Amino acid sequence: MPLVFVILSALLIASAVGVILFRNPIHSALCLVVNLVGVACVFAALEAHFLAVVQVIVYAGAIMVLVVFVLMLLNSKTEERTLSGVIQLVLSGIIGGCLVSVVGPFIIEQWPIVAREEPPISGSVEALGKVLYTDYIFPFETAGFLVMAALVAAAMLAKTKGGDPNHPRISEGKNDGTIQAGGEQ
Amino acid sequence: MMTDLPLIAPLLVVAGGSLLVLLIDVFLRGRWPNVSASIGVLLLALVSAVVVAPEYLSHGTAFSGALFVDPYTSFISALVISGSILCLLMGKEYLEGEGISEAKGEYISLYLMATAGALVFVAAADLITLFLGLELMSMALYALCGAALYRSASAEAAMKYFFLGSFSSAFLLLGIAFLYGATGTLSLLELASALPESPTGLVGIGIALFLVGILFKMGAAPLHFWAPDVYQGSPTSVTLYMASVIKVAAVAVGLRVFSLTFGGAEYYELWSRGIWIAAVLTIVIGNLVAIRQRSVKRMLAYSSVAHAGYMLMGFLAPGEFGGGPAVLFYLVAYAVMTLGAFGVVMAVSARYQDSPDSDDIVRFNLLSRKRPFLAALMSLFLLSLAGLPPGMAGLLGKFYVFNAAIRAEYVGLALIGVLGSAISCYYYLRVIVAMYFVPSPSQAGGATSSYEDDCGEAIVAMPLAGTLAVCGVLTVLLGLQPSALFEAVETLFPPNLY
Repeated sequence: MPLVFVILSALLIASAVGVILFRNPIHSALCLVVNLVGVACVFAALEAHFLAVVQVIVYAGAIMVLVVFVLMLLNSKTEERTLSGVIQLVLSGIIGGCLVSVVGPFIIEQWPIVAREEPPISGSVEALGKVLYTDYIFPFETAGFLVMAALVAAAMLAKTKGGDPNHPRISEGKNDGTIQAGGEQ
Repeated sequence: MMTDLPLIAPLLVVAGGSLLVLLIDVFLRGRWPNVSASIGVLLLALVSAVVVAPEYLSHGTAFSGALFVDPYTSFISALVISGSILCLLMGKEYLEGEGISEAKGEYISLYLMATAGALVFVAAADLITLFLGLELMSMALYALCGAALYRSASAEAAMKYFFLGSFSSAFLLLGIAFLYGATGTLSLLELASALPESPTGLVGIGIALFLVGILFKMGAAPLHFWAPDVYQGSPTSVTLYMASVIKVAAVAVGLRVFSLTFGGAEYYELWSRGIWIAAVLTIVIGNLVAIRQRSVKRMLAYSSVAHAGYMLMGFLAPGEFGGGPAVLFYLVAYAVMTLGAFGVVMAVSARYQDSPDSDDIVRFNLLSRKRPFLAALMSLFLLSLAGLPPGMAGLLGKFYVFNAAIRAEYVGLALIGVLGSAISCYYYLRVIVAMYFVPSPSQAGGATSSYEDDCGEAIVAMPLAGTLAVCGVLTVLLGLQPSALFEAVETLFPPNLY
């Protein structure tokens, strides 16, 4: 396993932990940027240059700008350490630990993981485009349609008035809209 | 590549129709019959599905292995489209009225997109297409659940379904990644031969995560917890769709993947234990919790969870045990009965939609007196769901599935199934008792006249009445002539492939 992967993996894990543990949301967001750029570096090291560039542009660029923008707008303060927050932290630590203890042995069992003998594939834009528009044309078009569906869904939810107290349905009945808890397990 | 286009004509019609409906709605804001137009689109899709059906008699793939071209796909696609037509007809009145007033065009368009997603999902021959189809279907559904956003229950349903659905999609995607990592192929056909001789850890995790994703969409325990809240909170026109069409798609895909791709003996050993546990949990939890429900809609949601458990029993009896055809027969019967039952609930709760407990069991009192036909149909559907005569469709469906399970030597599981359906009689019959045997106020003495106003009424528009009648006739026919359907679905499982 090349040294570069070890370093990148360590960086990825450290920054992912940082996202959760930092109490200032801006610090968390910056950690997330490091994480996303780290993933882009892994892609680049695997010679998937196109994916690396897209990862930087879409995630580290567009999405992170949005996240930081929202954080600034909301003027969010440093998160207080509350009891429920600590409980949440401990619980998620236990669940994550369980997951690692289940998955870990399988991976250790197969150590050292060797790459299959395969003809070298090129991650260049040209090669990717060729595959995308020939062999994977159907999934590609479906993905495009999926984005369309997401847009329409967002438009519909934005147009529908939510929880309007002046709506006849709400003001007439005594309905506060909560689901009857009769069948909660 | 171009030559494959006619094969996906139904999909093209539905997808194109969804965009067209949206576009026309921009110019004629609500001043045109977009629901009827969508029903027309779906009918056209059904016709084209029937027209291209002969092409599907070969067992091949289209679009470089992205889609299956076989009778199984053709049958399930036709089922999905017909289910969508029935659901849309049932909800027609509701949709054209005040139900979803602000964004009708978008609602209808998303409905067609969800159907297109289901069509991709059931035809997918590689894991990427399968995932994209599932996401397209789910993405549209998340928003449809929130279509009645003025009720916070609807908003809650949409949020719950969105978050939990995203989690389950992530699990499914991780499973796909593990499978790809272990075998180097995404094709469901090639995967079967590319799997290592004996299951390795990576493949095991991949299959387990994949199973999690499928069980979630089926609404099977222990991943059923979203179903009751989402089914109850969503507009009933969406609940109908989720309980029938979406469940049909998820079960059909699960059945294909587990009996075709992971069907080898070594792998059967691996996943059959997981499905066994899931089936037992689903049957027990679904039936037991349904007993406690007051809301009939929620009760039917739990019942639909329980029915997923019976279908899972058939998964355990692949190949010569005859589990595959049994599951498909059950699926068709279940879809028809559930559609009918939810349709009646829709008619009753539409009458009381201004009150918070519009689908409470009390609303069904006196229904037999005020709406005798509706009450009779509801009884037929409920008896059929319970598997009691004269509801023979449900009884035969259960018989086929239990029979297959016993032949595959799952006698204990079959016993649990029988016990579960015995329990289910209680809550199904409770509604029938409410409809027929609860005394009228004059007999009960002290009850006030508001009691008379508060129950037993329903709003039944023409399309809803027609669809309910179709469901009723189909339920009876499936009970009287089961062999016609059963022999048809048996041919979908050629012995050398499954």
